[in-house]
Amino acid sequence: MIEVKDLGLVYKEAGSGRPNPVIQNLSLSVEAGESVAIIGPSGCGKSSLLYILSGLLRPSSGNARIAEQEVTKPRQDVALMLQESGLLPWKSVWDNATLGSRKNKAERRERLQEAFEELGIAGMEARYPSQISGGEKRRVSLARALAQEVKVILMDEPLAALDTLTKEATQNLILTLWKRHSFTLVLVTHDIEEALFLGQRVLIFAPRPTHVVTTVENPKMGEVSYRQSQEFFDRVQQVRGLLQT
Amino acid sequence: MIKNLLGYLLSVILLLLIWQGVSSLLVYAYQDPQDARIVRLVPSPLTVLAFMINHWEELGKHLLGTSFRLITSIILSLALAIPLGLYIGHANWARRYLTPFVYSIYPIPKVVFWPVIFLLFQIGQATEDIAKITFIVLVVFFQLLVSIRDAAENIPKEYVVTALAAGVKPFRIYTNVILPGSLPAIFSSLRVSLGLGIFAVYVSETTFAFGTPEYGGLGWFIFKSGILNINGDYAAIVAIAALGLTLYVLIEFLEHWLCRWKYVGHEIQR
Repeated sequence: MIEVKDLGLVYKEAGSGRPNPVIQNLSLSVEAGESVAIIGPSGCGKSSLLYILSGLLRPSSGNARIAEQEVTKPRQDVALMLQESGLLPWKSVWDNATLGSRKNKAERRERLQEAFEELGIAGMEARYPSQISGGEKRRVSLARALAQEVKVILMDEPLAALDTLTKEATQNLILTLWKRHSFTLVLVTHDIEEALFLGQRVLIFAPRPTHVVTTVENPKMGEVSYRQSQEFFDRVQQVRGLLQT
Repeated sequence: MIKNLLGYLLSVILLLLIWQGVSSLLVYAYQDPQDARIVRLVPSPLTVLAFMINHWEELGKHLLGTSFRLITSIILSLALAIPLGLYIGHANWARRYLTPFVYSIYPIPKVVFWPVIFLLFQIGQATEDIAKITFIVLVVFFQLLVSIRDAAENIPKEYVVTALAAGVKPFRIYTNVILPGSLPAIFSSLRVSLGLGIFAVYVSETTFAFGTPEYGGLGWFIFKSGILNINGDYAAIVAIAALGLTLYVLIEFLEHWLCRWKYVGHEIQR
């Protein structure tokens, strides 16, 4: 589904204009319907990779392909979820959820109403983002993706600002939706437990210029019993160790 | 909004009371008939109100003239400054290359150009209004342009990213993100610009090439009245203040309507 080959990204430093390599020779692939978590030090280029995959940033070298097409611009079948939920404060919940949609009005309404009901936010359509909670904002972002029937959801630390209980509830929700709708999920996070709960594979990224250091296979992801097991805590320690080295 | 209107009403009452107090104080302090000139410098609000009632037709025409020039100029300035400011603030190349140009022109005092503009347009009565409106636009436009440019530049990048990633076309980013996100700053700047506009309209109305114009404006009325007709000066000042206040309330009403997302939810205690 997603193929990244020899990807490189070089920023020009503000002021001096000196080249600053952020990503170097990064290659990875994600199967259709797979859930992959990416974890790495701050500023290593994880978010830049998501921007490239969502067509907002052009790589300096190499290429990224989704569904066998090179990504050169934003696609209707790919959704990007940002840390602060990415809702525009001046648009109502409904208008936020329909932002950028190219479906016809009737189809859009039907799909979105289904998504709102599935996510438990029906009745909030006329509210503004400042009138709903952090968890509800994430649900609106997810509703936008579901109504668009996207094939890929890219998440850039979408749960970072949430309290523990809301975060766990939203993680469970993401997992349920992923199983039900079979989209491909790429999750960038700083939270090792979140990465191990939601990622079938966890990719550990190196500091700048980033590349994949190693991949941790995580076949038991999403099982509640696994999250409370010794095996899970051992794996958390393993990933922590890899990040520290 | 109702609470705000009540606030305006109370402020006007307070202002009238202060005015009456100063006027009464002068009457009390200068009881000698020789000092009557000083007492006349601050007439009581009731004296001015009586003058306004007696001269309502003449004052009304001048008020219409001033309102026409001021409102037309502000609408024209907004129509020019909003698209240009949003573009310069958002488009990378424009921000880089046009911002220094805008900032270079901004500090030049535009008021000094009034004689030049007046002489350039001095062809007929109709073009005098064009000259005045051009001058007011020149004064107001740059104030609006700089604020709108800055507001567009300061829109959080996350909002633009969200809209682009959702599939909003780059040119529609302006209507979906840049304009609505800049609106609160536009209204804030509009309030400041209104004060500048009133100043500019007054300056422009003190000059007329063709005798005593009927709709010359309140600036002309004050200029013509001079120190010989103090009550007339105050009546025109009250009319300008009423015009300004009405426009401020209108701007506030528009802001509450167009930026209603800002006013929803709980108001925090400050």
